[in-house]
Amino acid sequence: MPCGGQQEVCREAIAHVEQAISASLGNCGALAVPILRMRSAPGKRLRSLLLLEFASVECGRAELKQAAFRAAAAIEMIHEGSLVHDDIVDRSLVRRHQTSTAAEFGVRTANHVGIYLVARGVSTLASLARELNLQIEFAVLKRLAYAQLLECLPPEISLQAQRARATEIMDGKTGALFVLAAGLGAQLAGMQSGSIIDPDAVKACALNLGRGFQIRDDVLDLMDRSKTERPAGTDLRNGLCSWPVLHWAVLQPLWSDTVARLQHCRGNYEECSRLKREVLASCAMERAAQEANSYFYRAVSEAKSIARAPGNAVLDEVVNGLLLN
Amino acid sequence: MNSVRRLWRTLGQLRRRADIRQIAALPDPDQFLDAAFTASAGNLAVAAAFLPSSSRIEGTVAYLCCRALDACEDLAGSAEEAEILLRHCTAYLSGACDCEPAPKGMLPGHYSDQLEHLILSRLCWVRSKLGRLPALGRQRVGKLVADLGDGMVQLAEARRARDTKHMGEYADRVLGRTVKYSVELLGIRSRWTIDYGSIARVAQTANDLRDRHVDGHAGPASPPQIFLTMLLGAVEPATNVPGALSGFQFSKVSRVRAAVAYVVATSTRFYLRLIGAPVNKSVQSPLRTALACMISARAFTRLLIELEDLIGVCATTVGSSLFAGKSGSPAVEQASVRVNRQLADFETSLALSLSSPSAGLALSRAVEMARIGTHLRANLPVARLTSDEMPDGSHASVLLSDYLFGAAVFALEPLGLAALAGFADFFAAEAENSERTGALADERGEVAALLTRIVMSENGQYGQGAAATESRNQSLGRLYYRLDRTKRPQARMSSSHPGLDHCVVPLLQSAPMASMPIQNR
Repeated sequence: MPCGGQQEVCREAIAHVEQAISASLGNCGALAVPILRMRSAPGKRLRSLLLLEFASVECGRAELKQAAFRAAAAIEMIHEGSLVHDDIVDRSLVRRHQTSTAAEFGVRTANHVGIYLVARGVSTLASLARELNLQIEFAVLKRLAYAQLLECLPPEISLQAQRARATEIMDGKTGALFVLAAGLGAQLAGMQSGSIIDPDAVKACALNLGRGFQIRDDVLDLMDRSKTERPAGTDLRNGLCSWPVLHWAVLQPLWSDTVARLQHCRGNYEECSRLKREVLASCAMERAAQEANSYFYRAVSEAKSIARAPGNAVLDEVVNGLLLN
Repeated sequence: MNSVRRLWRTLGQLRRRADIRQIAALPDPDQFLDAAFTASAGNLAVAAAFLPSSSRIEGTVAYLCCRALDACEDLAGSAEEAEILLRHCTAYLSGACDCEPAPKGMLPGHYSDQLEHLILSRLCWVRSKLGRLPALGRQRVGKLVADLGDGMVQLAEARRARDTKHMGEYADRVLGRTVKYSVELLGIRSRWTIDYGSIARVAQTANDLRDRHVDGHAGPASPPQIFLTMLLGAVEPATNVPGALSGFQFSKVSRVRAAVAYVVATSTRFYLRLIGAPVNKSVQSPLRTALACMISARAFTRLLIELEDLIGVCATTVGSSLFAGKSGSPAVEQASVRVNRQLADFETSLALSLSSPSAGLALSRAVEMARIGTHLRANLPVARLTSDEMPDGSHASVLLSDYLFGAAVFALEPLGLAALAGFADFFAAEAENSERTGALADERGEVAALLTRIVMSENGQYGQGAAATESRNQSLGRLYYRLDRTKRPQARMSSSHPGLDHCVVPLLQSAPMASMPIQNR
């Protein structure tokens, strides 16, 4: 389902995913109010789009089309659940133009909301996999939680090691769900066309997309978005070494000084602002953005290689469209 | 030498490091083997002193064989050299060759390596002692050596590279096999399939942490990522250890129970000290705990309940230390995880009544992990998030309970997708229920009901009686929970309701599972 420039098609697809989310969530009982409130400010639904693009559902059989929407809904529920928990851990008071669930309803309720969403997502995926004989790697949740734990560790002893860790975190926090989404989409597409899409190429494509999006997210975190989304510099305030900071650190004489400054940033607004200014004044942001783009280009080239396989001619158009989106 | 004198002497030697030259100078093989065992086994030698002499002698020989194999692995210059040496050593101990393996150019600097080197250099004495064991013991140790040798050869490269991804497999194949041997040697019977893998992984991590952080001979202090990976690698299987140990059956007065309790207490103390968490009374004095466990089954149950609590404390302390950027954060008050051992045992026995033992273990592991995760979450503050600092323990609780939930989902894969979907649905309902009523699923006996459903569906026992069995097990679960809540803390920890043991387990083992037809719900 190509959506480059086809905003209307994407909107329609997302509306189907929202319906599938409602169906999967069912009656949320005591959690209905916080979940409804959360859903009133949905995200970009990138993972859904990725899955639907890979599945090429618009010309498919009706049951596969429904399956793709259900799978997308499951992934979105897991993602949303992880974001609610993220906000507790990052002490984020704002999420998507409104107060975060933890800030609005309390930490324990937010935790229940997160568990509810993730559990419903897992249940939907398991049921779907059972019905359609799909291969799903359920280690994804463990990887996601592990990446979150890794992020909270004190910095590594060298910049190189820190960079390797940052990549592992990206692949766990963002990449894991991207890979799951793309993999499911590819399996559904394969069921439709009768051909098998190379799973390694799909994984590489999704992983590169995930890296690109995570780095772009890190860049955006340092830009002033206080009027639109969450306050700038949340990562710094938590003492996290985000991707632009890694690029800035390359320009510093000693990694140990960077580490000391990052640790000093934890909860220290003044120090955060000072470091943020320095990062912005250097070319770190541009370099990080360039790196994000290079991951996007790699994803596109992987998509092209997948597209060369019979029945997948539409895929490179798809990834290009997704990026433009 | 009688047991008390042996115990006393071993404890004395534990406090001071034995002189390797003195041990090497001992002319009598038996004296040498005894001294080498006491010097290298540390707390394990104390635990062995509790055992009857026949078990102790065989255990000593088996231990020395393991150390010799370990020496081949650790002291060789390369993976290839280690492989050759391991094969040679295994063949020599089995009697397949008479040429003693000679470690070349190895001059270890570390104390424990020097001891291993010494044991390897007197392997003929170990072999001779092995040959003098009774036939059953000889056969048992011979099989152990062969299995360990194979496992070590196949994973030699991963072990040398300290490849964390293969450490779990190494623990299962090498230390897991040793744990299995120990259980056979001690003649321990269990009420359910023993989870050797979990016990082995916790022990393996303790070994590795000792190498890296205490002995420091594996290079400079490890990067925090490896430290975390290792500790998380221990937290996950550690949640299953109390359940595994709880199935052990001992006689009324049992030296074996004392030995097991001593090993549990000292290992727990090691972890608590390493992490910087407070060490409680029973763990602080393992000898007293072991002696109490020798004469009292209740003392052992109490130790297991404390162990379960301490796992929660360890998990949260590890998590808290991440946020504090240093080890030993004081935020342990967040981590009060009180698990009702009898209820947990009931649930474990339900999970392990699955017809496939490996699926039963997977289900039991998943339930234990989810239980600890749920209890960690229950301590989260109700208050809204503000810009003020939240206690570090809260972050840790969220992260670790998420990790344990993810690990539980992953553990359930062998059971199939229907069980996985049922488990996930249960957790969604549990989150909603906790929000509405503030009560945990344990309180309502719902975990027992879920397990009954999964087990009966997986075992293919469909029919009309399913709802009745499920409802009965749910009531039993509730009953266990209430009995626990109404007792004083001391009594709560003990097996103060022996009648229940007699009523529930036969109930599970006999009629309901096998004969009751149920509907697949």
